[in-house]
Amino acid sequence: MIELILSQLANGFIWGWILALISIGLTLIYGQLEIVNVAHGVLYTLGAVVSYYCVADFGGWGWSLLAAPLFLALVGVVIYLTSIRFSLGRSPIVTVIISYGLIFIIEQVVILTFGGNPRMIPNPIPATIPFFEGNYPVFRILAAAFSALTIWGLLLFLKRTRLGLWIRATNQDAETAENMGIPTRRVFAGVFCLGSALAGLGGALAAPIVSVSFDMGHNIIIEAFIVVIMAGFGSIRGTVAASLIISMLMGLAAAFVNPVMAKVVAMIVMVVVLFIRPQGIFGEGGQ
Amino acid sequence: MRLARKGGRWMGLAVLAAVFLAAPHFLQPYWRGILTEVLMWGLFALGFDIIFGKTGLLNFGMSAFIGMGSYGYALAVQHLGVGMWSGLLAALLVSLVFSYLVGLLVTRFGSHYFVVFTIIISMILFFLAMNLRGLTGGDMGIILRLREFQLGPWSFSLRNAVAKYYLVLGVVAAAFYLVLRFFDSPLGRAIVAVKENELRTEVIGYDTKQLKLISFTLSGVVAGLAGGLYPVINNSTNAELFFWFFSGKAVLWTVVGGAGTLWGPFLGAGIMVYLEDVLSSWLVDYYPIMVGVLLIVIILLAPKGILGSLQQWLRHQAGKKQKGDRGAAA
Amino acid sequence: MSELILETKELTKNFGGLCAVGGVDFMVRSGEVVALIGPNGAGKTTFFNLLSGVLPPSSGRIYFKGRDISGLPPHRRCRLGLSRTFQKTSLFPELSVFENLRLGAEVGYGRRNAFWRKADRDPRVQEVVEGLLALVEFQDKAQELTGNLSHGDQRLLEVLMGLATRPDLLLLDEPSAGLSPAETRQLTRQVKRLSQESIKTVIIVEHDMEVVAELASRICVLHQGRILCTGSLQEVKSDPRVQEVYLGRSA
Repeated sequence: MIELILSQLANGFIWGWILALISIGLTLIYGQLEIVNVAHGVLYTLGAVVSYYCVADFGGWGWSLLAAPLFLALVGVVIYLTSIRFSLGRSPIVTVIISYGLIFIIEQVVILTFGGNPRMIPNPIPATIPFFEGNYPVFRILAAAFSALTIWGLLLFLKRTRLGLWIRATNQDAETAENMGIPTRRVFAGVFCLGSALAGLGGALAAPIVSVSFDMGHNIIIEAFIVVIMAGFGSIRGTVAASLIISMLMGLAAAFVNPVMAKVVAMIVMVVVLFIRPQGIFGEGGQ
Repeated sequence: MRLARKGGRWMGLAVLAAVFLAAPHFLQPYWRGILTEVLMWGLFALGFDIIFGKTGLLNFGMSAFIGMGSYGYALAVQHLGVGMWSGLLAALLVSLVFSYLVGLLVTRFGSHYFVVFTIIISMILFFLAMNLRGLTGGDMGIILRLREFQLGPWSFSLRNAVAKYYLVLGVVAAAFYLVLRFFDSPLGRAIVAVKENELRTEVIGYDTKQLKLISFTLSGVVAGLAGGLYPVINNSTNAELFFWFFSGKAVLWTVVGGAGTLWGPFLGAGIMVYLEDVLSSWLVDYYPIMVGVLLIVIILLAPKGILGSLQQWLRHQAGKKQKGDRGAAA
Repeated sequence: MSELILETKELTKNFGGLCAVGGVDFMVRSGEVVALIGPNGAGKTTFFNLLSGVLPPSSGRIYFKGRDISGLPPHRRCRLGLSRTFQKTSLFPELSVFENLRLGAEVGYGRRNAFWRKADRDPRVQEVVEGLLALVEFQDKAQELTGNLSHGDQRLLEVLMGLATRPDLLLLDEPSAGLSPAETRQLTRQVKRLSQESIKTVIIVEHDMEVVAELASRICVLHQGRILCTGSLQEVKSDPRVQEVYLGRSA
C-alpha cells in the first residue's frame, strides 16, 4: 500500500512538471492577451501527434523536442494572424468563441490525418532505475527534468533578454509599453506562439507516457485550468508549484478512487481554495 | 403606425403557427422527424441564449443540462415506472436542482472564471456519465420501454410520429412563450441590463449576483426540458449527450441564428440541422471543421447572427426614416 | 438643525502603500448641496466609490440615515435611498432612454422582481419615467438608444438615472465632465431645478467652479485623501491652505 502511494506521488510529481509546462503556456496567453485559450488542449494534442510522426517517419522521438514546439509556434502564428488578432479590442467573449471554434477544426484535422484510434509510442529510453521494491522508468524522470530545464530557461529568457523585457512590460501595461516604442502587436503574437509552443512541447513529452489520441486534449485542459485557476493568473513560479501540488494530489487520490474521481477531488479542492482566496494561492490582485 | 405594426406582428405569428400546425400533413415522414428534432434542439439552444445572449455569460457546459434532463426522464420512467408527463416533470426538477447548485458556484465568479468552470464541470460530468455504466449505460445508454402517453382521456403511442410531433411542438411552444414573457417582465429586463452594464445595474439597486443565478437556473431548466424531450423522441438516451460537442452545437446555433433574440436559436438550429442532413454524406468528415470555421467567421464578421443583424438593419432603416421625416418637416 | 443624512467616521481606503482616502470624517445634513472639490487625484471619486459601495473601505464606518451601511453592497445602499452618477458616463447603450429610466424607476416605484407581468404595463412606473423625461424635455428622445445620444444629452440622462430610483441622497460625480460651456450652463440649470423640486440632498464632485458657485450651499475641499477645510465658497476661497494647494505649487 505504502509503495502504491509512493509511486503514485512520484508519478504525480513527474507529471506535475509536464503539466506545469502546459499550464504556463496557458497562463502566459491569458496574462498577456486576456484570452482564455480553451483550444490549449488541442495544441497539446498536436504536439503529441507531431512526436508520433517523428517516431514513425523521422527516426526518433528525440526530434520532436525541436519539431513539436517549432510546429506549434507556426500553428500559433497562423491562428493569431487569421483570427485572434481581429478579436483583440473586442469583448473577451469573441476570443473565447474563436478559441472554441478552433477546437472543432484542429481536433477534426487530427482525426482525419492521424485517425480516431489511440496509438502508443514506444518508450524512447527503455531503462529503469530501482525504486523501493520495484523499478521506475528513467524516461519519465528525464522528461520531467527536461520540462524543468525549459521552465528555468523561460524564466531566464523573460528576465534577461530584451524580448523578455518587452513581454513583461506589455504584460504590466500595454498602453505605456506601446508609447515607449515596444511593438506590442508583435509581442502579443509572440506570446501566443510561445504559449502554443509550450503546449506542443508538453504534448511531445507526454506522448510516450500517455499514448497519443485525438481527444487527449480534453483531459489535459481540465487539469491545466485547475492549475492555473488555483495558482492565480500571473505567476510562473506559482503555476509550477500549483501544478506539482495538484498533480500529486490527483495521483494520490487515484490510488484510492478511479482517475475521474481524482479529477473531481482536484476540482473540489480548487473551489475551496477559491472561496478562501479568490485570486488563487499565488495570484496578484482580483480576478 | 403602431397599430399597423402590432397587427402585422399578430399576422406573422398566426402564419407561423399555421405553418407549424399543418407541417406534419405536407411533410414527408423523414422531414417531419427532422422538424421534431429541430424543435427540441431549438429549445436546447434557447437555454444557451438565455444565459449567453440575454445575460452575457458564456456557458460552455450546456451539455450537462441536456444530459441531466434526459437522464432525469429516462431514470424516472424506467425505474420509477412513471408516465411521460411525470418523466418530463422529473427532467425539469433534476435540471432545476442541478443548475441552481452549479449556478451558486459559478455565478460568484467573473466572466473568465465562469467560462472555465462551466467547461470543467461539463467535462467531469461527461467522464462520470461514461464511467458509471451501471447507472447510465455509458455510451450504449438506456433504451426505454415506455410505449405511450396520455393527454386527457386519450392515449397516444410513442411510435406515432405525428402525435410525437404535436407533443413536442406543444411543449416547446409553451416553454418558448413563457421565456418570451419572462424577458418582457421587470425581472427579465433586469437580467438583460446586467449584460449591458453590470456596474450600472448594481448601482441602481439590483442584486446582480442573484440575477445571474436566476438566469443560469432558468437556462438550465430550459435546456433540461429539451433534454427530457430527447428520450421522448428517441425512446432512448445515452451518455454521449454529456459530450462537450453538444454544448458547441448550442453555441453555434445561437450565434448563427442571432444571440439574444430568443427566436434566433430556433432559426439557427433549423438551418444547421437541415444543412447537416442535406450535406451529410461527404460532410460527416468535415462537419466539425465547418462548425469551427462558421463559428469563427460569424463571431468576427456578423456577431449578431442572422436575426440580430436583421434587427439592427431594420432599426437603422427606421432611424434613417425618422431623420428623413424630421428633415422633411423642418 | 435638520437631520444628518450621511456621516462617515475615519473613512479610509488604502491601495497597497497608497492612501487614497485617509481618515475622513464627513457629514451631510438633509437639504444641503455639498460640493466636493480638490485637485486631480485628491481622492474624490474613490470617496464616492466608498460611499456607494463599489469599493470596500480599508477602515472606518459610513452611516446613512443613522444606519451603518459600511458593509452593504451597492444595490442595498441604493434601495435605502443612496444614488450615484458616474464621471465616465455609465448607461445602458443598447437600450432606449425610456428603458434606461424605467429600470431605475422600477426599483424606486415598482416591483423589480416581478416576472409574471409585462414591464411596460405598470402605470405608476410609466408615469414616473414620463415625468422624468418631461423634466428635461426628452419626450421625443424616449425611444432612442442611449448610445446614439449626444454627449450632453448622455450627461443629462446620467443625472436622471440618479433620480429615477427615488433617492434621499444623490451623489453626482462631475456631471459636467466633457461638456461645452453652454451645455454646462444648461445642465447646471436643470440640476438646480431638480435638486429643489425632486430630492433635497446632493453631494457633487466638481471641477467647474461656476457650477459649484451656482449649486452648492457648502464646499468641502479634499486634498490627498483628506479634508482640508469646509465652509461657504467665500470661506474656502480665502483659506490660505486651499490657496496653497490650488495656486501655490502648481502655478
